[in-house]
Amino acid sequence: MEDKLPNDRLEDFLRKSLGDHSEEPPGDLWSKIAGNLEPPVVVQPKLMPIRGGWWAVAAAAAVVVGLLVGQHLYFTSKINQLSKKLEQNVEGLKQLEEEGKTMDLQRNEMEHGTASTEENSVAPQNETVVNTGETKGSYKFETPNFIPKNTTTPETKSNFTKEKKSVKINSGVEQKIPATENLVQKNPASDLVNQSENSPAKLDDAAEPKLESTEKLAAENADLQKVWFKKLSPLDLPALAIPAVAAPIIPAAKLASTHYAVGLNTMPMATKSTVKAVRERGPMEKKSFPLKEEKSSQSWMAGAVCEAQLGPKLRIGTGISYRKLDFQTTHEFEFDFGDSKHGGGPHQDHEHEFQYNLNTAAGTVEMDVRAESAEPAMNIPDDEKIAGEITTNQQFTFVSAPIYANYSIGNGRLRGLLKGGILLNFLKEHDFSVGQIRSRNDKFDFSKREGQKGSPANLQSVTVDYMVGLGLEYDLSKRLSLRLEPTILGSLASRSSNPFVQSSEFSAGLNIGVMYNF
Amino acid sequence: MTDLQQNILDRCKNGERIAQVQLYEHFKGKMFAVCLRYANSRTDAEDSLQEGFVKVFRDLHQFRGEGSFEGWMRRVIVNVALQNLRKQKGGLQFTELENMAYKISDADDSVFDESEKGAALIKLMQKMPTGFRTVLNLYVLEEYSHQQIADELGISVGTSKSQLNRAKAFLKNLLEKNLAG
Repeated sequence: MEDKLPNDRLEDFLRKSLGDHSEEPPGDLWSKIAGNLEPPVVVQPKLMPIRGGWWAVAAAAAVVVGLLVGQHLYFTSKINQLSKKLEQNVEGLKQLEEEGKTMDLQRNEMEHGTASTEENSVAPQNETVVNTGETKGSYKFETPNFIPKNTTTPETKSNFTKEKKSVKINSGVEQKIPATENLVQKNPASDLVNQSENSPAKLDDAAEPKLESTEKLAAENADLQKVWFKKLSPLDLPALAIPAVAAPIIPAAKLASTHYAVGLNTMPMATKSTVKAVRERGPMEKKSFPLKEEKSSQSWMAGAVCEAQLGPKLRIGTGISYRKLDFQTTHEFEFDFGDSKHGGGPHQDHEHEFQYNLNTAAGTVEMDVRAESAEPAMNIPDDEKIAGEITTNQQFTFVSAPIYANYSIGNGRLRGLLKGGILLNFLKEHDFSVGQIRSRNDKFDFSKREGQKGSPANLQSVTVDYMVGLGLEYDLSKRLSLRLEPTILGSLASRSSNPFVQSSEFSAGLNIGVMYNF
Repeated sequence: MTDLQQNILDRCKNGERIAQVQLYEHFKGKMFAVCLRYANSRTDAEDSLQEGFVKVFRDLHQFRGEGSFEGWMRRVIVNVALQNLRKQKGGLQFTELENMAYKISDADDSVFDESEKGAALIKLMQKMPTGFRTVLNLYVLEEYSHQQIADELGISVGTSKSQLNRAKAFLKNLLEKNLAG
């Protein structure tokens, strides 16, 4: 203390006399104070008093992480199994289709008395199981007396012997059809045609089990695909993961006697998208033209968060948000008229087609651009520059889960907030369309023919963004507070799964939130 | 801070009325004495105490556990008391009583009855001009520096120092008269 008088006895006297002095206020003062306070809160007894709150929070976090890892492993394993089975079934279907074709061919031959040289080749005499490969089952016809095509008589048909056939498919179904006895000379030729198991009628009968299998496989296939794409899609993981993350926070905070808060927030953002072609795609028949300019890009997110107090100034939080990005992007391109010779080639003297790769956030889009000269009779040199603009529209919709930490700066009613964390984005919807194509050369008019469009298959189903914010929190009342946080978001990895394209975004926005503190 | 005090504070933050009563009962005497030291009258002190406790309960979530709770609470109460002084007619006035004699060299506290010493002193202080009393309280009992007092009251450091010296002289004079009487 400046200019204190250490030996000032008056000061010592006052401190000694009044420092801890207390006086009884009027008895009714409390009732006046209580009348100005908020209504009392009814206290519910704690279910489980736990000392060492940090351990409870850590245990809850461990459980959450365990659940997520377990869920990931389970679904990955399940998806792999189903994927393998799906491939096997697809293979089985192909084989059955081939068999069906073979049987059709054989039936035609039976009906028309024709057989190819291969089909009329000699087969073993006795009943044998024909090894037709791992998954194939097929018929072979024994023709001891080879008769060329178009010379078949009913008698020749009676010489058919049929082997026992075995149909194996990967699903484990095996069907054996008994071999017929050698029918040579037993029946009149006309009967044999009908009685032989290789007769059209018998072939139909024999085909029935296969058709059943085919239908069964097709149905199973459809079910698997449904499961693969719908039920076990990673896109559905947030439905399980986010509640699993958020749910334990409040109980953990309660058990740890830690304060917690819930809130709603919304954040309009301006977004800049960057798309790079990381390497050339195949031979340079097609030129690639990159993103050149962004006319407008905006995004928006809104959601709910839940936070737990970990220290006097530190909170952790998570939640769930709906996030939408909307891009209208202009791509500028320029090429020589002569380039068309490498692409689609001139159709007519005044019409040239150019095939180009357009790099977008959704991946590479193959574009056919047709340049038509305004005056067909015009002689256009190969080095004539053809320039234009293509506008693309892209929309992404995500379900996002923020995981972050908040640090308070100051103790007053108005405090600073420092926020940092990550944002897990689960892609839910995606839309891509090519808008206008405009010529910058008066000599040409452009028309477009879109090739392969950017599609969700070109996009990562889950991406991670970093999130940093510096804002203010103002206590509106004892429990309610308002937050204004300028926040930036940026991609930590490419949003595109296409190896030829790297796309990322950077967003800046104002997060507006209302928190209720328990 | 003991676990019990922390528990009471946590429950107060949650709006539990029983905990609020416990907190009030624990601190009401000391805080009322603080209010009496700043106020012109007992009624004013009661108003300050009432407003002060309401503010303490409302702003309790702002107490982050840094420093003692009693110190934080005392600052809240003092601020309310100062606000009430400013609101009063004439506000906080810093008089220049140049002719105040500094007659007492050593205040002898032995002449006061120990049980009534504090109350008697407060009564004497309430007779002091508001400016003297405020600076004396802030400097001696709240242990503010002159710079802090100047910032808090919106006066110069010089004014704070002169007010303190005159307040001491005034109080010693009062004490002398009181002892003589």
